[in-house]
Amino acid sequence: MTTMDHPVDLVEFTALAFTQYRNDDTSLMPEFVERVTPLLWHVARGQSLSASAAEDVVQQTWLRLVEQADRIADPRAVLKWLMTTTRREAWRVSQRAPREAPVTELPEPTTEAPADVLDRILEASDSELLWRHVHALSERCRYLLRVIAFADKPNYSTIAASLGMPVGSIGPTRGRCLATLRAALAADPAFDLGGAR
Amino acid sequence: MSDVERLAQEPTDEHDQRILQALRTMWTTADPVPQGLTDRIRFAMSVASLEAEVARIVEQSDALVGVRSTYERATSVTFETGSVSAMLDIDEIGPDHVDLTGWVSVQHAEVELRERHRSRFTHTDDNGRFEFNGIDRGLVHLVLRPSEPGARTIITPAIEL
Repeated sequence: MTTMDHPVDLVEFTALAFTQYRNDDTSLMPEFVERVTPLLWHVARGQSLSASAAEDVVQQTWLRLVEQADRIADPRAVLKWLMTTTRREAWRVSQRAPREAPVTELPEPTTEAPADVLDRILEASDSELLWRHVHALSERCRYLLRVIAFADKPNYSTIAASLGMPVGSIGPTRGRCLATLRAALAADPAFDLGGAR
Repeated sequence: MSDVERLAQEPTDEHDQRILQALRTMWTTADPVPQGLTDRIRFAMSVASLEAEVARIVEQSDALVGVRSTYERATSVTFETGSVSAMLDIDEIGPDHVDLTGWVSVQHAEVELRERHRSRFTHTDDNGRFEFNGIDRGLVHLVLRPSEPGARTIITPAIEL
């Protein structure tokens, strides 16, 4: 999976992988599953599903793709189909299961990154600052950015629409949620991503 | 036009990519995709049966505490589709082996237990009951083929025994 480091347009990639899959060529399926599962995971978890319920929903969504493969007319719609199916199923499950409190604090990382102590302290304070700025956003923006962050070259309108948040604009514009976060980070002298604002 | 509105309408640039990358790192730390999930997904998808119907896992009682490797193992799992339900009891018979007893709400069906490297087959009895004995712990899923003409094959998500 050497290509995983190379950013791709997920809509294009998933359309290709799905087209091949329907022609009995499953060579891109491992990468398809690896690239899209994090998005689906955060779609489900962003709806306050427990980790175990979210696992079931995500796995069932993929199986449902096998079941429904013939009914998805446009391969370019498969990413949206996967996200929408996950979102609806997560909603359905959340209606009957006790909700889990959303993650509101940044947990301690379980494994230490190999970094200098100073780097680690700087990184830790930056993640905490970022976390605080993200939590100052509306719930809707938080959800959108949480999912979009897992889509390499973000296809903003497809993802927003899949989450039930159609954006009016056309093309790869930044959108209000990312713009709000960017402005907040730029206004925070303590935050530094390493680069121009 | 406010600054945010103006920013919102601009195309994304490299700085946005850095912000999104930082968000990705943050969420990966805060709420990682469970280990082994994509593996289970690929295993379950490998049944590659385009006409099969997918059963949902129904978490109906406290007795079911989770069916994935990253959580406590279940002792009982219930699956359902629109028309068929199936229940599976998992009995530990040793550190590495379990017995499976299942019931399906159709009278006669062939039941395939797919393991990593092989499949076992059995049939339900008149009460829809079936069993598999001495199964290695690990990832499995079920394929149910009702013998009634025209009935669809049913596949369950993969579960960790």
